[in-house]
Amino acid sequence: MANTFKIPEVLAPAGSLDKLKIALSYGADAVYVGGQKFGLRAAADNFTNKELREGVDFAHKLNKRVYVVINSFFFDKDFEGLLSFVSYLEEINVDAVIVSDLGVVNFINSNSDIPIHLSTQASCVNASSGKFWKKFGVTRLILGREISIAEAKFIKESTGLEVELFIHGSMCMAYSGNCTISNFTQGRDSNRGGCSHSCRFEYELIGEDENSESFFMSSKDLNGLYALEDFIKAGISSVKIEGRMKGPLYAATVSKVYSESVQEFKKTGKLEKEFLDHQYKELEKFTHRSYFDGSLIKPAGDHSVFNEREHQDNKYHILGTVVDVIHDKFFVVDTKTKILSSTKIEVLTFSKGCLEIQLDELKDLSNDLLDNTRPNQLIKIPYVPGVQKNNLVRYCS
Amino acid sequence: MSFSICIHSKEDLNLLADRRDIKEVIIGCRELSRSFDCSKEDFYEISHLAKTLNLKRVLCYDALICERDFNRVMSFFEIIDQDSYDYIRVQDLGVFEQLIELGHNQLQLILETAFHNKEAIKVILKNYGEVVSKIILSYELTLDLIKEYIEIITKENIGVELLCYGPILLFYSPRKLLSASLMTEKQVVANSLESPHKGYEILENLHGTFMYHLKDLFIYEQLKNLSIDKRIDPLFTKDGIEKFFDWLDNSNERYPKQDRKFTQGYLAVNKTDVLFPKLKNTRLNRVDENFVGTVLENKKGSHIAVRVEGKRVKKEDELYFINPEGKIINHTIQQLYDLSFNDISSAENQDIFLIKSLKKITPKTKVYLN
Repeated sequence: MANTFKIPEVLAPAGSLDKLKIALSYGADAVYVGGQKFGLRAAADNFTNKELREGVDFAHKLNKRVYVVINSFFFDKDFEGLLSFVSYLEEINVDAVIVSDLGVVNFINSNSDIPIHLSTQASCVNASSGKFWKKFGVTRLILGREISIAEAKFIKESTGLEVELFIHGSMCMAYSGNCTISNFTQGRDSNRGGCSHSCRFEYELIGEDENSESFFMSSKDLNGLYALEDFIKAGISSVKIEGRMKGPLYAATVSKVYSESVQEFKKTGKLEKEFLDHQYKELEKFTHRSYFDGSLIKPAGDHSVFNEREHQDNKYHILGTVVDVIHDKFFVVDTKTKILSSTKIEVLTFSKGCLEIQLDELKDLSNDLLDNTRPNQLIKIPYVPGVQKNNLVRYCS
Repeated sequence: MSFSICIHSKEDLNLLADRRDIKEVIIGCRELSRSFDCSKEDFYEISHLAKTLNLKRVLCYDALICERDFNRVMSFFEIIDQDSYDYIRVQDLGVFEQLIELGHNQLQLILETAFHNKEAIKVILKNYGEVVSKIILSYELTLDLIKEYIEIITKENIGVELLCYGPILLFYSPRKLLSASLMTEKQVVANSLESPHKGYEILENLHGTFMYHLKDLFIYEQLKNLSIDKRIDPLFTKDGIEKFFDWLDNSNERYPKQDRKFTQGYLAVNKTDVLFPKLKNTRLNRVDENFVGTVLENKKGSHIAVRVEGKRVKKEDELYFINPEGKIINHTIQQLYDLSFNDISSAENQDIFLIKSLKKITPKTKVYLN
């Protein structure tokens, strides 16, 4: 059934050039990335200028887009190098920059024609605020995660700007940009890339009559898959996935799940529960905190606290990446972990489901038999039709 | 001297009756403000009393307002008698924009979050100079920057204010986080169980949850000669205003008497300026000129596998490797193979090639052409 809704872009995180290629290959329409400076993920690999150019070229060949974050809160000295960086981004045809600071918005608007997206860091949570930013040349609002889909629709209609809303990933408990715990306790500026995640710590709460030990500032992870149809019907311009610091399995899975779901709606005009249930199971196959739907439908309440210590408990793990396929002979996986020779693996294809492969033996490149793999080892697996270079491989422990 | 005093109860106001160094009092009601807990009636009472004391009154409208609440909160604001305040203090840029639309032109704009650079401040001055009477600067600024910004702002006949004595807000969430863990408490002290930090004050109210620094900011001595308004807000100290003025008038001690400790914040130096590139191994960054690719594996006695991500390589090329520890290893390619150990003469971008195994080369080692 044809439908009249404008299909939103699926926007995935890319903490490195490898992850950019993974996210776009698995269906994301656009990625957001950071350069070596000016972003909020100082500990991510981030992109050198050459990698940015390569990433943009890769995306544009697929008719996809790259947005570059320049969303830290700038002090005067942080402007050093900004002009040349922005000029370079313009030269390599970056599709937009993501900015949170009024000074930086004004600077970029005065010195380039690159579209400016307002970072969620600016905590734009109402239409009137959107109108403020519009005056200074912002073309898209990345709304605060406190905003519902219905509110986002209203803000879009009121401002006439594109709106982008998070649909998946970790969440700040605070209004973004309104947390400086790291600054004053660890000497790391959370608004200049140094967040130390103090909100994930356990605290003893001492009241007048009542005490508690709690991870009271730690938020569950956002999962808006079941609200995706509402996103589409509300006309949200871009559905955004958090997670530039996360691994390739995450980048691949979330890109695949959300882009396939959007395409399913485009094709059929609806998202059946059975389809979403299947996709949701995929979102369980990487490590995450308990999911909830954030404030997408109604404001996040008591149930939104993730009152547990951070831990890795998922039974699905990344085995590695297919680095080459020799047709009819074998494919080679660059392993990231240890597995035994009798393991069943799953190859995540780009456009179909998973290919399940039972490994009866493990061989390295020299055809030596292995009892198990170790991280950073190349292994040969007999050829299976459908496996492509850069496919991700996972296994279930 | 010029103080802006946060008034949380009318008893505090009585202490200011005979003082000439008070420029204004900041008052608020719980529907509009993140830390004032007065009802509208209490607000009117304090406002009236302040007027009789010839004090200017600032209505604190500093909560961030989500779209779903925007009209309701704005309606509440609009029924407040305009004679009950002289200025409005605001942080949310949407509220700011709306107040201008309603014709208000005595606005005090809080620039404590972001707006740490003069480029941003100049944009505000240029576009909103007519309606902004005062800018509240961030306590993340160093004294040198504060002095520079004071000059820029006051040149436009706009006032400047800084928190001089009071709590440092660390965290502002719209979610009600104490209610998730405790049945009744709306104000607690929090101790980290995973770091040495003990004694955070936490407040929950209808705007969400607020966490404050363990120590109060106190930078009076450093600010006293600057031509700015100095904000006094002893939110967590009983009789704090009385203690402050008693200290100011009568004491030679370094600080007023109170249980909470003091900090000078970032006034002398912003410690976060030293970001943490040291957490990253810069040797793993590719240096693009002559970059060939990355080592995927090194099988002792057999081969090294390299994925080409940059320049092509061919036999007889001289390579150098930089391993994660920073060691440099030189090598001239004699034999070059593909993944099936077939002899090849060159390898292009995105190919994987094999050469003989070498010592000290580990996965992630970067490879360059000499």
